[in-house]
Amino acid sequence: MVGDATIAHATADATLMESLSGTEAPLRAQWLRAIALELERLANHTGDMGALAGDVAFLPTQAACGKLRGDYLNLTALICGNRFGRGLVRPGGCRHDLEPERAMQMTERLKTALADTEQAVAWFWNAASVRARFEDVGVVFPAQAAEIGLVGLAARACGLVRDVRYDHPAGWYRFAQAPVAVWPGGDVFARARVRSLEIQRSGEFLLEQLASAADGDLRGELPPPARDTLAVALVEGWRGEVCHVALTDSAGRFRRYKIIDRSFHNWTGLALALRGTAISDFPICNKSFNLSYCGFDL
Amino acid sequence: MFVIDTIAHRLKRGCETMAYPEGSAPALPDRHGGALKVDASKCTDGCNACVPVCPTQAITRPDGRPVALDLGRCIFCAACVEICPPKAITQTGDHRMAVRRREDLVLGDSGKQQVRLAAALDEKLRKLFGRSLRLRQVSAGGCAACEADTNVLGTIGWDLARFGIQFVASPRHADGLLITGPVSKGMELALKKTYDAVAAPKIVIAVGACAIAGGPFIGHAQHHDGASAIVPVDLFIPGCPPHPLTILDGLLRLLGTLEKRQPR
Repeated sequence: MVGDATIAHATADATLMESLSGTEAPLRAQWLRAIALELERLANHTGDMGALAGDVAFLPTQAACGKLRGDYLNLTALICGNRFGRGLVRPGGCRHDLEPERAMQMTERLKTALADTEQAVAWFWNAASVRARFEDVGVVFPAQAAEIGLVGLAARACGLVRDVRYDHPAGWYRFAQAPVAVWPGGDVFARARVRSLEIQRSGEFLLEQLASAADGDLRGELPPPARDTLAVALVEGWRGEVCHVALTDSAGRFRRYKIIDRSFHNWTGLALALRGTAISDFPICNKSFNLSYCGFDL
Repeated sequence: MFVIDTIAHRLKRGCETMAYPEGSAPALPDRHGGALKVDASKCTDGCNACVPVCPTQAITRPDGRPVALDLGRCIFCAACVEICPPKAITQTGDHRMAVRRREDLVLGDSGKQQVRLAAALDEKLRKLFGRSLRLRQVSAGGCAACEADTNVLGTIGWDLARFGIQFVASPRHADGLLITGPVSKGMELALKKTYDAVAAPKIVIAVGACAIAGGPFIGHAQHHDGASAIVPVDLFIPGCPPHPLTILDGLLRLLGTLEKRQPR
C-alpha cells in the first residue's frame, strides 16, 4: 500500500532518475516536492490519530480527524488536482506549479486545518481514559529497535534519532529542516505522541516554506541515464524511510530496480510490540504502526 | 471536566456533513479536470499524437478507424489532453463517470464522445438494496489510494451511512463486493472465495483503473487486468483513484437514489 505515500515514492524515483542522469531537479521543483511530502505526512498522521482514537472508542477525535485528513488531501489536490499527488512529481522536476495566489490560498486553508487538528488532538491528549489505554502497551525497547533496524516514526518513538530528512538530507531538506520529533518509551503512547509532534512541526515547516518559495523553472533537462551505474535514493515518507535503488546496464537501461518500503523494516517491530500483550491490545498496537502489507513484499 | 469541554467543542462545530445530493455537489479541485470527452470527428488525418503519450495504452487509433479512448484504463494524467493538436480530447470537469457496462467507458465515436452513465439496478434489486446495501471491500493488490478514497465516504463529511450503505467485515454479512486493485495472482483465490461467500443476489463494483482494466499493471504476468476476469462486474467507477464524489455518485446512481434525492 504505497498509494498513501505517492509523493515519497515518486520523489525517490525522480531523484534516482536525476542522479543517474547526472543532474538535479530545479530548486523550485525540489521546494514543491518538500511541500507535497509534508502535506502527505500531515494527512496520514492526522488520519492515524483519528484511527487510534476510534480504536479506544474516543469518537470526537475520530470524527474530526477523519474529516481533517481529507482537508490535507484536498490541499495536495490544490497543487495538482489529485488528492494523492499523482502526476505531480516527474523525473526532472514537477508537472504543476504552486503559483503565489495558490500558495496564499494554501496557507490560509492550512492554518485553519492545523488549528482544527491541534484542537481535535488536544481533546484526545486531555482525556485520562485515552492516555491510560495507550501507556505501557505494545512496548518496543530502544535496544530492540536498534537491533532490528526500526525506521521512521516507530524508531523515533523508541527514542532513536532516525530521520532521513536529518540523517541524509536530500532535495529541499538540505536547505530547510524541521526538528526531528523523538519520544522515549516505545509504547503506543509514544508512537501517537511522535505523530502528534510531527503534525505540529510539519505544519510549522510548511507555513515557513510556503512563505519562502524558490524561484525559477519547474522542470529541467533529463539526459539519458549513465551506463553501468548504481544509484540510491532515500526519502523520509510518513511511515519512515523509502529507499529506491537502481543499477543500469551497459546500454543505460535498468538492470535491476529495487524498492524497500519502510514496512519491510517495521513489521518485526509490531511482532515485538505484541509480545505478552492481551489480544484486545492488538488493534491499537497495529494502528500505532499502521504498516502496509504489500509494502513488505516490495 | 474534559467530557463536558469535549462535548461543548463538538457541538460548536455543528453538523459537518455535506448537503449533497439535495444540495449542490462539492467542487472538484480545479486541476482535477473531471471526466474526459473525446470527439473523434475533430481528429486530423494521420495524427496519432495521443497514442504514444498514454502511460496505460488507453488510446488506440487503428488505420481508418476513429480514435478510441478507454476511460476504464485511464489514470487521468491528461497527457493526451495537452498534446492533442485539434483539441479532440478535452476535460469536462464533470465528476460523474460510473457506468454499468464496460464498453460504455470507450469514448470517441459519434454519439459516444462521453461516458454513458450508469442506469439504476432493476426494480427487484432496487427493492432489495435501495435502502440498505452492505458491501465487503476486497483490495486485490490495490495501492491503498482507491481504498482510502472509498473509506473516506464513511467520515462525517460524506456520511455514507445516511444512504443506507455500509462496509462490513465479512462477505457473509454483505450484499456485494467493492473491488480495488488489478487482482494479483495472489489474491485471485481470495477474491473468488469472497464472491462465493456472498449470498445471491449480489452485486460487484470495480473501483479505479486497476480494478477495471489493470491500470498501470495492464498486461503484467502476475495480474489479471482487473476484476472482470474473475467475477461479473455490475458497476465500473473509473479514476486513479476516483474522487470520493465520483465513487458516491456511482453508488447512488446504481441504487437509483439520485433520482429520489434531487437538489432542492
